[in-house]
Amino acid sequence: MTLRTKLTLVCSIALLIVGGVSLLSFRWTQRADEDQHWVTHTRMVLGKLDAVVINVLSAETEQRAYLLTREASHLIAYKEALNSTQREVDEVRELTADNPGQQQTLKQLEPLISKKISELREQVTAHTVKSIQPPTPAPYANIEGEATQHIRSLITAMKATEESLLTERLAAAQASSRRMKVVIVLGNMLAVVFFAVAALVIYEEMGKRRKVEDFLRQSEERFRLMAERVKEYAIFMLGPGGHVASWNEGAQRIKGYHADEIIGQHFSRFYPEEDVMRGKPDYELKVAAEQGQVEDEGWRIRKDGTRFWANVVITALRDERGILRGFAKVSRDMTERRRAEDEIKRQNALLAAANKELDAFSYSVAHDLRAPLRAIDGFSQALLQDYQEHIPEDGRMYLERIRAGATRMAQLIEDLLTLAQISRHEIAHSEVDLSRIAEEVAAQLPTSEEGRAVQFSIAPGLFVSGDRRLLRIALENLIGNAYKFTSKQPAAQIEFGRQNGGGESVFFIRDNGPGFDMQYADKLFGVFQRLHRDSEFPGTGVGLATVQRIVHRHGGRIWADAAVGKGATFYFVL
Amino acid sequence: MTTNEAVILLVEDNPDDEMLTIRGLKQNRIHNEIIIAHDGVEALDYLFGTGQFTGRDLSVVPQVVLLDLKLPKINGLEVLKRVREDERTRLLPVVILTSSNEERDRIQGYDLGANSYVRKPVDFGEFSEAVRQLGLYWLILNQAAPAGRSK
Repeated sequence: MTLRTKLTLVCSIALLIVGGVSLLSFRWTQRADEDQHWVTHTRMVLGKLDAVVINVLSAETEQRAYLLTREASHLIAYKEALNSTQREVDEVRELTADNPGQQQTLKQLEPLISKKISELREQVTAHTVKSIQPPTPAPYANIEGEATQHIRSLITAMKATEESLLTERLAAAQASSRRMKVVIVLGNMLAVVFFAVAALVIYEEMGKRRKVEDFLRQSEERFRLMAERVKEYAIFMLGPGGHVASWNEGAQRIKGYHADEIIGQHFSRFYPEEDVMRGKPDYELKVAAEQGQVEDEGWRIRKDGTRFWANVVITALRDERGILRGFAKVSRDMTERRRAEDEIKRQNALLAAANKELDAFSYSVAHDLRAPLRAIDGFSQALLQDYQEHIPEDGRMYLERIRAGATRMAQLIEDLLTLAQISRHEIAHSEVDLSRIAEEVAAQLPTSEEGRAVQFSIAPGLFVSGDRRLLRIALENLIGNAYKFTSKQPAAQIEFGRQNGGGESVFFIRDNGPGFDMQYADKLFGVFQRLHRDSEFPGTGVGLATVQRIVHRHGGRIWADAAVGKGATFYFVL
Repeated sequence: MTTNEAVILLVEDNPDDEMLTIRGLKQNRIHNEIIIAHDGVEALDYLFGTGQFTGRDLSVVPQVVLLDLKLPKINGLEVLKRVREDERTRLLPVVILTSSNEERDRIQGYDLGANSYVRKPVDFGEFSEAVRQLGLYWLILNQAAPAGRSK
């Protein structure tokens, strides 16, 4: 049941009670009035009855006084009393018209009274006509006689009837008055209770609403304070027409206006003139109103006229009926970021130029440095071939050294070019089967040469995401190294596998070659750094640098573990 | 191993490489006439009978062109492009013989219609072997497209 229904119900009941009580009181008041009327009526009847008796007695007394004294005043009083008697009897008849019992009694009474009056008149007439002597007054008992007593008794009976009626009516009036009091008191109490219940419900509801309102107000307040204090973003409201309605610290900081001077102004003043000419501010409001939100990035104007690059989001604010109330506008000063982006672009352009130069350099190295080496080697060989008999043993040995130097230099150039290429090469990620590459690399190594016995142990199915070409170069170098450094091992063992280390997949290549002293481990991956003499194990010192660069370009790590005479293991994580 | 009527055009600006290439050919008993062009312009002049080769008998078509890439004036790839664009030389066997092993050179070379791409080794033994194989293949084994019917 909703609050409204509840309240309506309770109040209706209370009103009904009040209405009912009022109606009852009205009706009972009416009844009481009637009762009162009847009481008065009865009392009047009683009075009249008394008056009848008094008048009859008075008429008799005055008549007797007249007969004795002959004084006219008694005669007048006697006649007066007679008239009154007749009048009172008539009134009693009228008053008791509603009471058949009383009328009946009255009917018995009237002839008695008439008879009494006649007697009295006869006595007066006889006396006046027959003698001037005072008549012998009739004895009291006689005069009083039967008639008067009868009248008295009838009137007494009538009075008794009226009195009992009076008692009855008074009792009824009292009872109804009591009832009325009870009903009025109880009814009003009940109504009060219902009204109290309604008041309680309203009070409780008001309390609840106040709590909700307080909560909302606090929440709004908090939000407002938060928005006001945000410094990184300009957060402010616009009216439906685009006039600034609120302002925060960020807006002040970014745009330079104080709240006092900007609230009420149209927001188009934040836009550069050319944008205003093109109608951009209004267009953005229009789009926001139609689509709910619009986002834009562009130049805006500060109070001092300087420009800043802003990211702007305008959100339309609608009430629950969908009527546009205004807009929330959030702007961010992106000038620094844009500057940084521009700087990155510039640096990238520089880098690209540098790379291009490096490219040209490598290209040149590839061509131009190799040609003289080819000449050195070619013509040394030509000397050896064409002038063999003219060159002594030493000379031939020198020429061979020249040739070896040229070959070595060519190899160095080759390795350096590879290293340079790896830096320039764009990593193309794909699923790479390292096991298969390792097998292929191993297969290309001359295992049977020089009576070498090399046992390769390559774990199958080792896949990794990476650049196939670069990973092949890495494995060629690592496996090639292992092969080279086990050349003096009668039973060379080279193992490629994967193990778990700290939740990572760690690949490793292990050999049982001479190993190395770990104190020189930091030199392993440096360009041209070697831990062995060239006469022991030939090499350019570029291979591991190349491998490290490949691993780094994959975002991985490489390290080694070895001990002199105990072989070496190279680990890498991609 | 001789086919004397067949001519080899060697496009090479480096005199050392020129000498070594010729030495390699001779050592492998390839005695065909070797025409030397020292830059891209000379190569094109020879092939199309222009410039210093104006009036040359164009019916003499090289059996194979050994083309270096890094050349003065017009580089090797440009030479190749023009050779392939011309109806007369569209099907001429061209072998790129260069120091470069740049991937893009190889891709561009093949794109432009090179028949082979051979890298000159520094070691003369290997170089000589490469020249021997080239001669064997292009002068002996390979059957050239019929002259004048290249369209």
